[in-house]
Amino acid sequence: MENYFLYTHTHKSVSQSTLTTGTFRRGTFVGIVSAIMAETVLKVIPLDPEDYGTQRCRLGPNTFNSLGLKLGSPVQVTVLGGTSLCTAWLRNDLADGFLQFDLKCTTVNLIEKFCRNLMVNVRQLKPMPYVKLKNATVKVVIKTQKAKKTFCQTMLRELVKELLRNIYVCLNHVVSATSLETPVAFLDVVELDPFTKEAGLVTAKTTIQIKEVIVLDWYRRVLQNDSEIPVGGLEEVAVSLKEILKLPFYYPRTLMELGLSCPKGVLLVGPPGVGKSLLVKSVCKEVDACLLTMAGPAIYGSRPGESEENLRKIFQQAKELSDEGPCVLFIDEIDSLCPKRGSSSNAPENRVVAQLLTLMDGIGSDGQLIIMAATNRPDALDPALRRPGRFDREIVIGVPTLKQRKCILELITSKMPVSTDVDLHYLAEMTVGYVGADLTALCREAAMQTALHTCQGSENHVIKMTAFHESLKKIQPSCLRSSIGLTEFHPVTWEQIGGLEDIKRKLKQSIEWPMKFPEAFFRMGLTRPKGILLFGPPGCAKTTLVKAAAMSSHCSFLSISGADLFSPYVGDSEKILSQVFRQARASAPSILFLDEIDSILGSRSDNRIGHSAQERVLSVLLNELDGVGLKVTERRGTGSKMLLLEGSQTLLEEDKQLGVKEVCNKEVMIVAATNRPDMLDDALLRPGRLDKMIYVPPPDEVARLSILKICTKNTPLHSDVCLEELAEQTNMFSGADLENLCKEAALLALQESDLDASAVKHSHFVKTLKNTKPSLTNQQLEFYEKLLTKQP
Amino acid sequence: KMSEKQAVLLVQQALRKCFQVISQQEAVWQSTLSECSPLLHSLGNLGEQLQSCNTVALKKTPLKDFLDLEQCLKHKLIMAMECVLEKLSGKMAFLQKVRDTITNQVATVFQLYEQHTGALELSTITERSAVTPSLANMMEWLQDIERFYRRRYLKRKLLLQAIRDDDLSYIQALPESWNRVLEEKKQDLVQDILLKVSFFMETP
Repeated sequence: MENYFLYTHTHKSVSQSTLTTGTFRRGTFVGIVSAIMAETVLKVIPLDPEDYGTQRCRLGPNTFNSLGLKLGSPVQVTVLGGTSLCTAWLRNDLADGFLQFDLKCTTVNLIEKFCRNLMVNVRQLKPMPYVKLKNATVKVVIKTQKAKKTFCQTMLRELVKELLRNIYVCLNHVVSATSLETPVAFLDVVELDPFTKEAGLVTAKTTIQIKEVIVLDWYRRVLQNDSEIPVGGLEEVAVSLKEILKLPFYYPRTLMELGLSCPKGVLLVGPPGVGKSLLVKSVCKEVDACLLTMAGPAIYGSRPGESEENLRKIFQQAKELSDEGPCVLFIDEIDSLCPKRGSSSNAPENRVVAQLLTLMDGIGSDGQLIIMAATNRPDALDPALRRPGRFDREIVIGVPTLKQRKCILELITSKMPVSTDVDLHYLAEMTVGYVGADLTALCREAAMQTALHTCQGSENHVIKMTAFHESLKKIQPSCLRSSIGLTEFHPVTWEQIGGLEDIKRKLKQSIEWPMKFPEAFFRMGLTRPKGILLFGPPGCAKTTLVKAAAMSSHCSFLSISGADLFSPYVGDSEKILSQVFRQARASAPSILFLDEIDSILGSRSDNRIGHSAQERVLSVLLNELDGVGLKVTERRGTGSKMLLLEGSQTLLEEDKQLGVKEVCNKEVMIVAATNRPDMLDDALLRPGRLDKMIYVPPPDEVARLSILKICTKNTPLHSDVCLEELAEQTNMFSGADLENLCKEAALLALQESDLDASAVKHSHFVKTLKNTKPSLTNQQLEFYEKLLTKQP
Repeated sequence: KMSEKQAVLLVQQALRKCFQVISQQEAVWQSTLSECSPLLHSLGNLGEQLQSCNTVALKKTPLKDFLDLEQCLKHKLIMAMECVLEKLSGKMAFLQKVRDTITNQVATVFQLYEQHTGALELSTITERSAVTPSLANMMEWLQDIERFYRRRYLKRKLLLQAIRDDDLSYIQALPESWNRVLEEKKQDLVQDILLKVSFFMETP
């Protein structure tokens, strides 16, 4: 008796009664108490082989009694988010604390699952009342297509009736018949009469209705993408995609009556990581279509003709599946499968392309099969593929905009324990140019950071904003990866630039304001400048100014120089430049910085003959600045402008701001710097291109003083040093000169005192000043002055 | 209200009767099956003949002078096959009858148990001795036996149902597939269980 209670989990009422009546040794008593404390838990162990397919569930006597069960009465087991309907039987050894149950009649998600290492609470078992059924309607899942054809209706009904005989069923449960060697695999119970949400027993008198017959393969595929796939920020695309699918799948007759053939193919175009494949999966799930995925590269075989054969096989499979119901054949990375035929002189590839084209033409227009393909290089596709009748529709998914990013972030973080200080709006603003995959990586990294930091101590894992900041440093947007223009630079703030207050203000006005406060610009009907040209003598902080501007306006910053651009191949430079522009547009709002623009571009006005690379680059730049329009494939977001103008009253203030920012910040701002503005082509300088010219003058006395102060901030100065005096004496010195002066003076101090100097004295400065010459000349300044006055 | 002891006795009696019926019916089942196998062999044989008839080119043999010989032969063979099939379906009806008898018997026991379930404590159901298995076990065995018969019958029926005129190789292989059902594991489940309850059946 004592041992019995010690080694088994006991039910409350039983053990309590023994507690009051019996006397126990102390150890036993403790055992019972702990058994009560830990709720009655049963360990799930595998079923005995002879019990497979018997719908039995074996319990220990205590559990059996406590649930008030009878031999063979129905009981519902809830595990792993699904339920299984069983009949209650006793274990042969009468041991408590264990549970074995058969998955004969289960909900869909438990089909063919293995329940290993599970603990089940007694509360997860529920005795079910039952009624004897008059009628049951089922969907029959049959193993092969051949069997489906050979079985006649009456034979099938007889078989199904036999399979269901004496089985307890439940609405929306699936009865598995796989243990018997019959052509039927599963029976999906869809209707019971009399209607009951509890169990129903199929007896000899129950009539069976067969609603439809499905082939196992198709059923599996529909089950496969059963779990909900959340897609953020792509609602509008998803809706239009669903429309394309729904029409032929569900209203084929309407289309027939209109004399239309159904669309057969959809091509999804977009940069990598925006969620093309995910979208297809989720849409297929929503329209209940079966998805057959095929990866382009997996088709290729080593033997000649093997690739074509594989292709035909897959299409055949898709065709068979589509006989059962709506089916989508998804070809991922179709560009690898179907490159342009003309350019590649590769015969086997051409044959594959031709085979694909023929197969696509061969699809009947009964509308149960639709082909979807995804690519990020639409230009590499064979043009023959992109005509109506093959890929009728092309859907462009761009890099997510601000709103979409917020949406995606909300979706990802909805399942994470996020601290209240996390500002998703701010994060969305920070993550310019990030695609869905990047954002997922970002959140994962943040979670990793949190896990790493909290594992030593506290229990509560809450992801804080600091973790997101950390991961922002690590995760770069993938569309800027491998880009030419991407630069890493030391962050510069406005305060680190001495003087030039006027210029700073101008720059803020033209770069920072439109990025940060677009609604004000929008209200005043202003458009922001398209491009800015900074010019001035060398060494006067033009580049540093741009860095500071990029820092303060939270946007992507791309920078290219002549070295990136020029290449020995004809046409390469132009290609690189337009690629940089494309990337900048993809991650807009962004700043594209062209340093030393005079070296990149030539001028067409001077009378040199011939078409030099520089001239061609110039014409590309002019085109990119205000060409006719964007390429179709670069489209981003959707027309939310309408929404902004009409129903903005009801929108939340924040949303409204988001909308404004989204609409206004679509463009790329070009910032160029040069010290030879006279070399530039006139066409470049007209309004609408580089329409804002800012002269960065050499520093005046006040500015020089503040520059000196900044330069000597980290240097210990002797008390006799008078920076004001130095500022006065350094006329015609540029910022770079001044920095150099400070450096030299400090070096001199070290040199004189054999590395023991503790401070730089004024005499050092004076001595250095004697040896250095200003890099600016009056001549130069006059030249710039003249240029300035020439401008209206 | 009925006492517990009475209820146990009632259920035990029903079980005893049921097991007796089962042992009788099992004998019927086995003898019917043994009658089936020569029929199946002749069916397979006929299938083979028909197959050969289809492949042979009679025009190249001395028999070419007999007009319509092929048609006649085929007709005769098909008639013979149909005859065998008819006999087989007769045997199947026997088997079905066995199955239904057992099903009904088992259902009666379960009905009786349900009627007296209030009077039966769990400890009584699980009580067992050297000669008498527990009620729970015996009911379980009854269910096993019933399911077993249903399954065996269903498999044979499906085998016969799948016969089609144009698939002669299937007919030829039929005796083997029929035997394969026989050779499945757990074939002696009924005998085993009857052995387990033999002492229980003998006690009055």
